[in-house]
Amino acid sequence: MNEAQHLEEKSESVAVEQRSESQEQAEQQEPGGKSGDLSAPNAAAPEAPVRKKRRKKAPPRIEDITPRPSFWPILLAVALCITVIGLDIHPIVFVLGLLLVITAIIGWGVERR
Amino acid sequence: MATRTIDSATTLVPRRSLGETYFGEWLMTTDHKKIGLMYIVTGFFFFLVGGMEALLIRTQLAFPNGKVLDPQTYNEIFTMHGVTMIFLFVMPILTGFGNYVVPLMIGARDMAFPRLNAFGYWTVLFGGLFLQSSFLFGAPPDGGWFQYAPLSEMAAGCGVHAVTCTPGANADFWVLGTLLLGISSIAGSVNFVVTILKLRAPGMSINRMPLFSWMQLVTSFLLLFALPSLTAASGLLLLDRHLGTHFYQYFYGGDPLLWQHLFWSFGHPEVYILILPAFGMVSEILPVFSRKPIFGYTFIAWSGVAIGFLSFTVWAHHMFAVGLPPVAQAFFATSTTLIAIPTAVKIFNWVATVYGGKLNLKTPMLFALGFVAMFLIGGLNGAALAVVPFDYQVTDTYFVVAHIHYVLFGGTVFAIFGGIFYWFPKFTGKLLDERLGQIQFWLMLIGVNLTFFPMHLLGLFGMPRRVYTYPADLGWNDLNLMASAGAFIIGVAIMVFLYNLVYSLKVGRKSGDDPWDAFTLEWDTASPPPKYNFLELPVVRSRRPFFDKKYPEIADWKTVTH
Repeated sequence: MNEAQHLEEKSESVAVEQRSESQEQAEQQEPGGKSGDLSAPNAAAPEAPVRKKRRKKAPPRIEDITPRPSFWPILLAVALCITVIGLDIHPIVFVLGLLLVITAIIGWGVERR
Repeated sequence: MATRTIDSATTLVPRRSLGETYFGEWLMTTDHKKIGLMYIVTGFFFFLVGGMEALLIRTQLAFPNGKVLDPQTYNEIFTMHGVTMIFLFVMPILTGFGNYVVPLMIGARDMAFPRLNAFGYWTVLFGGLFLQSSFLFGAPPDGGWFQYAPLSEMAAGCGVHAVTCTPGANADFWVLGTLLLGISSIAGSVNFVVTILKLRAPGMSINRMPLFSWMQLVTSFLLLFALPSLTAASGLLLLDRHLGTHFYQYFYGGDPLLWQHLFWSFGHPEVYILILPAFGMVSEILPVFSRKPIFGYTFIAWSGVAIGFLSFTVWAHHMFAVGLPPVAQAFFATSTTLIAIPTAVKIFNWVATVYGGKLNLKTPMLFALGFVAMFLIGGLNGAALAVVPFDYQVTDTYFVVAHIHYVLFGGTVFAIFGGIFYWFPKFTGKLLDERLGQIQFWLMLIGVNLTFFPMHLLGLFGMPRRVYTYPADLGWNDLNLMASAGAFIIGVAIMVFLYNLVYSLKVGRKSGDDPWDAFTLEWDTASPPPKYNFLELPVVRSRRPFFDKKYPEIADWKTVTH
């Protein structure tokens, strides 16, 4: 089953559950207040029950519940590797690596999540 | 006037960003499942590299006066065999399983820090390539996987008091490579700790958490506390080698034993870092294939914690021969013996889990049972090594090589293969071929015992470890030949596995979502799982949440309180 089908089925089942929940609540609702709510004023007021239409809660979008891809992790790892190699090869390589590390950390920090 | 018709269907396709291409998706992924798979594949690649090195060693030692490798190359090969297997195979592959399985098991949608997770993987990969590239520069590490100072020092002080050193870049590769791998391990451990402590599904108390997640948690704490001493030791060695300090050089007022203390206070917890996740895997597999809940959950979980604590108190049993004072010897002998207690608790609980169960002897179960048997042998000869007078006799002999390989190959590697066969359907939606799996298991069981059991005897007969050859008249010939034959049998078993992998990926049987009728949450989603794992987070009421869901009439929470 692919992700789209899976999501579609799930969203249908969520919608069905929500419909039945709202129906149950509407049936249990007494005029003038919630069931069992003794503090409600005008408990016996003859107003017709107002049925509010509940908006269907949309299933979460995949991009909302999964992390975004990012190239900063691989860049930081490369930068770190260059820095470490620089420790052994030449100070210029080390400094270059360090600059890349700083760039990657800043990029990582300001990236929109 | 010429007109041109523009086909909107072909011209309005937006350019794909790097992250949307196939390779870009893998390079930029922060999905724990993809990262987990990359860890596993990378770890397995390095297993093949380390395995080749093992076969070279055993070819050299198969006959007396071997000429396959010269002494320097032999030093490099056995060093890189240890480094590769420990740092580049076992640690990454166990992290890979943790990455893939733990979030699913605890009902989370990903790890707590997905980008840190990706960073950990890439650092392992580059650190591994950096270490292996030392062969290209003709300077692979050659001082053993523990790189004892002052052997690993540079020129200063070399030759004084007949101290030989490592003037080339060999030790630098080791120091810098382990530094990179250490950074990766810290990143991974922080991630596991936060994920497990903060992202568990509603209702999953710490006391209901799957045992594999428990062991990953303990392992992560071990790494966080053990790695600093390795980093400190490596840093001091680097200063000695390049900036003229003398931390480890006796001639200049340094102390060679400082290296051993610092290294082994990392190195012994490291052994448990390599085995605890394997304990967790076996604790998941045995109950499912025995159709019983795990026996003594609480004891198994907390004995893991006890092992974790005790592992920091035993390091100097690697140093009995350096002349520790008797009080120190007594302390470390006692603590080492003490650690056998929580380990034995686990073994008794596994046996009790299997006892009276409806056993399903599929390949994952065979590997789990093989693990228990092999690890028991490794544990028992480990307890023997805690006895100081005995240790004096066999220290730095092949007896120690036998011990570590029964624990790490008979133990951890068997558990890893058990885990691969168990979770392969989760990773791919396909089953590995059962018959090929059983062939592989029996070949490995025979190979492991043929390779490593004779090493006990070789050690008792006085064969030192790390010698590149031996004369023919010491009575070691037949045992060495047996060990080499066993190593090649293991090689054949791995070939069978590789064939099985390719065959099953191509034409393997589809597994369905829950091929083993399993108990834990990772199976309560599609196989392979969707990107988001669970659209709605599951609610947990017992230690076997998926079992409860499938069999509500006999659900654990109805009968058991925990």
